[in-house]
Amino acid sequence: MPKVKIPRKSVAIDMTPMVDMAFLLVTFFILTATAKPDEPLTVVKPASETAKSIEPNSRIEISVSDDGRVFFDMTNKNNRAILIKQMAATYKISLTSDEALSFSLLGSFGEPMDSIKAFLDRTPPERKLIPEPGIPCDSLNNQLADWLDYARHISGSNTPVTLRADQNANYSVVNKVINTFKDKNATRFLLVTDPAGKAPVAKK
Amino acid sequence: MSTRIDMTPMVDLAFLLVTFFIFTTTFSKPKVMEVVVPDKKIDTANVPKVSKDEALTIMLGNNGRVFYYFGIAKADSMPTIENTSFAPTGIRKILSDFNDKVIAAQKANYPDKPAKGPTVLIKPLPTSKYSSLVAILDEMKITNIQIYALVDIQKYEADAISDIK
Repeated sequence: MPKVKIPRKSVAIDMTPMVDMAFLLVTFFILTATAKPDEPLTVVKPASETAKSIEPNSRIEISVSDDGRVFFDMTNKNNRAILIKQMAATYKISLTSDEALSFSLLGSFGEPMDSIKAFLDRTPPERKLIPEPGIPCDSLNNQLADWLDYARHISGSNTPVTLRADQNANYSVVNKVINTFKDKNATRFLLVTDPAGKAPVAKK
Repeated sequence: MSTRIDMTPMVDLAFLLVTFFIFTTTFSKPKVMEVVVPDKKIDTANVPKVSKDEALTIMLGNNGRVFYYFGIAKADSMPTIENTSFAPTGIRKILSDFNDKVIAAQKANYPDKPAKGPTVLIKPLPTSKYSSLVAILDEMKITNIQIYALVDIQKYEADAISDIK
């Protein structure tokens, strides 16, 4: 009887299409990911159990450090050039186009208007060496109100306003910021917190 | 020699990168609590009055201390101020018990109206920490309090707290 010849198959499979797909996904995620700008202050967020997550879309974010300094950020980089132009005009400061550009690339910042020109002239590593004094938000000199007002005017009053305060920040500073929100009609805002263990929510 | 190269390590690396990017993008979603504060232009004369049986005032002191009293306080007649904490048996139990009590009373008195529950006034001391504020707003959500407001503390209330050791 003749022998039946079984064709010998290779065990190695062609992985090229799989590699193609994997690198396509890598490229997709790299391109959709947005780079996080350098944050000048570290905020330890308080824990909360009932917080919900929001989409990290464009928003106006006010941060408060543990020693009570107030920082401002508008995450939509495209609108920041208009924002700094309007603020500079209001405070009668002339900025060069280089300074306006470096403002657009900033993350959150805490410089009063009278020193913002000198601040923007420094290189990013130099900025880290000098602590930023925070944006004044007293009733006599409320620059935060102007920042908020122009930012909401440019990006629309539906843009979420978030308050990211350190857990050890004093309520008096937080209250000043909340009062500024009230003054500028931003009566709906979001407190950024860290999720803690889920607690059972009472049934109605 | 075969012209084929082993692509397994390359696939491993590619999927590792995919996993990394998937996780970092979803974890960057910020967690937030929504707060709504009243407009400053509101006519204070037409604000609905709170019945004294349905009012609870919570005051946040230094070092995460919590004080509360029921009813309405005036400078000359302060109700007894109690001292509690953020432990689950502390302010959370008081809030949920008071919520149940007021809702039961509202259902008994006005059976045809939906029960709104108590009105809670939150008054943080200027020197209290922000974490206390977030903790108490968290408790409002957990105990399902419908009506609560963030109010500035009165001087007589701050004085009354400072007497409590």
